[in-house]
Amino acid sequence: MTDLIGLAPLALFLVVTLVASVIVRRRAARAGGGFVKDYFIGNRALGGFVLAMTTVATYGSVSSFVGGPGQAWEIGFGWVYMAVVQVTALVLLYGIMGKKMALIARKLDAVTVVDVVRARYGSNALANVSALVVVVFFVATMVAQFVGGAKIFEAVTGYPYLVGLTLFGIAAILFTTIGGFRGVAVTDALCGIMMIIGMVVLALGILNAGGGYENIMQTIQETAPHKLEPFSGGGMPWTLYLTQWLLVGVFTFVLPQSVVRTMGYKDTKALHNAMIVGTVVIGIMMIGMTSLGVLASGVLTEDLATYGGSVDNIIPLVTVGTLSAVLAGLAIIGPIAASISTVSSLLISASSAIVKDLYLHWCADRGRQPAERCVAASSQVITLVLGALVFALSVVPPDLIWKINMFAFGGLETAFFFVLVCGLFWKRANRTGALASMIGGVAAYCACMAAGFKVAGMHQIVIGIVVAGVLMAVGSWIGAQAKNARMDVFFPE
Amino acid sequence: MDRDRRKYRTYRDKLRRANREAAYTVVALGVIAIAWLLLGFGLADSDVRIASTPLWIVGGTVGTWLVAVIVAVVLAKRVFANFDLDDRADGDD
Repeated sequence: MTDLIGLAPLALFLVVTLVASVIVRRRAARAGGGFVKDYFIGNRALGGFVLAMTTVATYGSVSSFVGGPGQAWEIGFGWVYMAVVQVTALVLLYGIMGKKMALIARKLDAVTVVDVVRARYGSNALANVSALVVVVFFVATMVAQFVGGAKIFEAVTGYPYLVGLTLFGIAAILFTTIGGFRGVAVTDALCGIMMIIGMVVLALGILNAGGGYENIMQTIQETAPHKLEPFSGGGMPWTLYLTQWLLVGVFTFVLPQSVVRTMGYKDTKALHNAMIVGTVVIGIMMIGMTSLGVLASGVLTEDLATYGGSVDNIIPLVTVGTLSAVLAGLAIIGPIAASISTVSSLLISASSAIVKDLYLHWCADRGRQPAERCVAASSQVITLVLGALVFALSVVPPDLIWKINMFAFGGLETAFFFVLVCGLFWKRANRTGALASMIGGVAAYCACMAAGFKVAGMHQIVIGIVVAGVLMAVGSWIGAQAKNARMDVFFPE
Repeated sequence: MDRDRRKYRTYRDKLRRANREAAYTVVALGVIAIAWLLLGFGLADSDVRIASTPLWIVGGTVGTWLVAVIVAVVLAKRVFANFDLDDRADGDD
């Protein structure tokens, strides 16, 4: 479709998000309140709708728009049934972490999740390891997002991969660098809206090309009846259901990029509204996109080899095959917005881990107080440099990109699940247990992933989480509470 | 809402309330998981179809989502309390 008209919707969207980001930054600068608190946590001013949309947009990545629906095309409605477990994500995040993190963050004047971890366990070593884990896994995830977004851009528009990467990569880096946390939240909300619009446009194209919903369902019944069974003729074993419940359902509420959002909303009413709005939106998005993948079976009826041998080609092909150039240009904003919103949220969190958790803390330990202008400049430079690094890593796309994405997801959950949950709800948990849990759990998880070792065919997160849990319990039993652990804030008598 | 604000004035009371709400959320997760099982696998043997779609697909996906939305509404409107997140009104801080 190499035609400029097809690029117009995306270009317009990028300009609007960039302008929104600049406006948000200017307003924040006028309002005052301190650079660090504003840049990294938006002065805790998010309302319910923006909170919900930024969480959903951060959570819903390009995989939700390309890889997931592609798998659904191959497996059938069993994949949709599995994907729906993600409707628990926001209920758990806001219900378990929402108020406690907001209260504690305000009490400590904490800006990042690592600030909270440091205060709870009184351990700089744990805080430094946490910041390192965040940066490493976030960079891996960001590369996956950029590559995924640029590949779909290439497949749908016909322009080279590098053009797409440059176009939205630079836009994402710029509006994160300029807008900070609040800018990211607002542009995430715009991305979330565009993700739904893109999905609706694609749905109309597929339904139209397939001769309507019932016709498509009858085609599937005739050509691939296993796609209408929950176990999909062996394609969806119970172990996959179980591990997906853990990986993309139950454990997602400890992902640092989601948890930081519970430190940035303005009041309890906003949190309650976000829980309702977010659960509605995440359901529409996850059920909608994966169902479209299955319904694409009514349009792309040959075997996978015909479509290039990769499920990642399904959504680009069905987009090009069922929509006009302009509508296809509108539809690809969905996955690209998903990519941008995830990258921007991770970029601001990774940048805060370096500036706030490492550099500013290092200065404070030495009794130094850097000037606000210096902090502002270094925060924006670090964000820019990190973004540029991710961009550079994405220029030559690595193989197995979707696996890298899921690997990072599992690594973050393994690292933070017990450290956060026990830190907030178990008085006995201490730095020995937390350090052992984070380092041991991540090491076990990475080693099993590298070796391809599984228990009963289940994803390696099960091993990582079990190891992390055992080490947290044993370490906390053996070790003692650090003297500078802020127990008065976490468990007031 | 005002009653909630008067009830949860101190930092300690607010944290206790947050702990209780976290426990309610775990119960809510159980409700959603049971609904997912019953509306999906539980209906897998049914021959009923809606718009050529087997009932388990409608129940397991849209049904589970609707249950999750209802759970979110009940938690947000009936179970969770509203209070000031800042310390301004605290008496013991």
